[in-house]
Amino acid sequence: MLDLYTAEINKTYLVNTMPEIDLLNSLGVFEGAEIFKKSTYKMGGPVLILIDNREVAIGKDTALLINVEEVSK
Amino acid sequence: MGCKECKTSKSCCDINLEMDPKVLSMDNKILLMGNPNVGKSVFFTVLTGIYTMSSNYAGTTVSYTKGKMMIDEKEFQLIDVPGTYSLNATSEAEQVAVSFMESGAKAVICVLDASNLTRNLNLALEVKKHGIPIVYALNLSDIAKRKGIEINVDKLSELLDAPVIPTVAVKKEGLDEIKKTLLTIIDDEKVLEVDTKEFKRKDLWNESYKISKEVTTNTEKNLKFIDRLGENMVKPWPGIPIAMLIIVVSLCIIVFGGKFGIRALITRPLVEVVTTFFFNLVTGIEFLPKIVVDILVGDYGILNIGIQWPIDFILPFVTMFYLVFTFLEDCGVLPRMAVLFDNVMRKMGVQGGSLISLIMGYGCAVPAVIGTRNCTTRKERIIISSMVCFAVPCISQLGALITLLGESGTLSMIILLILLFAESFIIIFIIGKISNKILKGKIDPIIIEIPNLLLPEPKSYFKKFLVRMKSFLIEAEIPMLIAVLIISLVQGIGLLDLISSATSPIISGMLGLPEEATIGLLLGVIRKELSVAPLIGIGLNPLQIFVASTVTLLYLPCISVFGVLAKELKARVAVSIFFGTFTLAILLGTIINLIGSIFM
Repeated sequence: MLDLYTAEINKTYLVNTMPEIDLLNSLGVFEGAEIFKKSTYKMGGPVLILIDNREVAIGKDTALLINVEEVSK
Repeated sequence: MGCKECKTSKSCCDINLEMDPKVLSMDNKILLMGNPNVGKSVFFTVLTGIYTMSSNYAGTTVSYTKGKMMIDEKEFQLIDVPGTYSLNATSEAEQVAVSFMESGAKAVICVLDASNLTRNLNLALEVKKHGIPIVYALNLSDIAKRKGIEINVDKLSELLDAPVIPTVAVKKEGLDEIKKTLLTIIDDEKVLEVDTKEFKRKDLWNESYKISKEVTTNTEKNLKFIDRLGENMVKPWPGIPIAMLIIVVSLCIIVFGGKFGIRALITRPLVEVVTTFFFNLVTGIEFLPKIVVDILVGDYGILNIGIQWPIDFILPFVTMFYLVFTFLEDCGVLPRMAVLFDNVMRKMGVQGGSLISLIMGYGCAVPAVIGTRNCTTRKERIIISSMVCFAVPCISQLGALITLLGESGTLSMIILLILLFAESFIIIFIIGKISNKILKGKIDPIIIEIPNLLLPEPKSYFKKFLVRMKSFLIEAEIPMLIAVLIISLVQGIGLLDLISSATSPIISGMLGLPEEATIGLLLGVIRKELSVAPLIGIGLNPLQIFVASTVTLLYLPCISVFGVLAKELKARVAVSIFFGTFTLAILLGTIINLIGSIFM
């Protein structure tokens, strides 16, 4: 299983499973959502993803719990 | 109840910290709802004429605000509901929003961000389920256009089954149309059904995507410089160097702009003319008793404490700080810094989003403590509030500190200022680490949406700046006058000598400071800059200046901050911070004095 934190940047992913966090849901990250990973910040920083044309930063500990699979384009 | 950010404007004092059943039961309510950072507060200001603070990041409005709105001589109460992403009632802001929705209303103005339609539709569809007449304001239409996003307004209105009005609230565009439409939907006798069916958020998202796809056309547009800059500022490279540059440039503008600009050119000459005039006037009246002369023009009289201290020592730096801070707040730089420095903040035991509250503390600790309501756990609220109270100087105090440090010469001032900031950061770090170990509970990782990078709209920028300056002048003057009375009383009955000799082992013995420091520490409880001001202009040596700066930096939170701490985080936390700051101030001041004495 691939988690969002270690997933490669500049690729599109489908969210498979994720923890139940209301704010994430409200921002458009839910199981089945398609997201684009833009970057991972070093030294335990967050990951930056793109949903539609919105940038959302997700902390490392949460990103590790989000399982994703690459979407082949 | 008073506004904690701006105590000056009576209108602004309608900000509320708790739900009031009377407000909930008002039958002429119109609710202003929407996601965070879509411009609701700007709508509120324009529609009611009541100024409320707005910023370019989520969570500026952490409680509701009410104000009267007239439409064709009909009176309504407009409620600025805190921004929410959903109505799940999982945060304080969402609970407020849900309570208002459930209490019923004449109508809802649901503000949508045209440049982020899908996410906004998610809440819009949820609000619609409550069966209250709605008008949708499609705000930030100008930014959507800039990004090449075109929205078919008629189609959107048809799909939402409610009127949709394009608006640019900061330019007041489309607001008259909103008012007219409100009257139409309120008078409309169409019965709206309440949808009580359980729904899955995923389904709501799918519906939002579907509608968004149907009404939106994305035209290829070359990104403008500001959009490219916004994208780059969130990348570690070049984002971190740009952020560091912004911090250094901001500090230089505040320190040098304040000292060599406003103070040298405006406040100092002005204060000299005014004080000389009044000093000659008062001392020229021979029949005035000595005590009255002392109260008016003595060392701790109205002329000195009420005019020279706030206008000459502090105002220049407060002016520069709010010019810079308001700009940074409104352009969207702060959330980018929160993401870039999340890893550093994590090392302190908190998450990057808290950096915004911490930076707010450099303005005033009161809004910073209230701003911690955005934290998701109580533990994080206490840690951030402690960091702010222990080692983040408010701008009034920082202004006084810069003036004090400046007495040792410009080069020495720069060195001492760098040392003081380094000391402040180390203490913030240690407080974070220790509190994180001591306090039970957890800190949630950062989840933050990056707003568009904007150039602040000049009119709203200067309005916000002026409100803050007015607030400073009124908030500073009243405590200054109280300080004059306290000192006069303490001096008049000989209590000052008694306190000075009682505290002499600490003030002179341990800290190596003159007796004026006693007055500073007494007054510092009222306002923090008052702990520094008595030490300005009495010829302290560089070691004494640094010891005094350290002690006053760490010294007790002022009375307003103590009150807010007790209200927001319980009295026990406020008392712990009170004793913690006092002990650390004396302890560290003594250590610096002892070590410094060896070398000087």
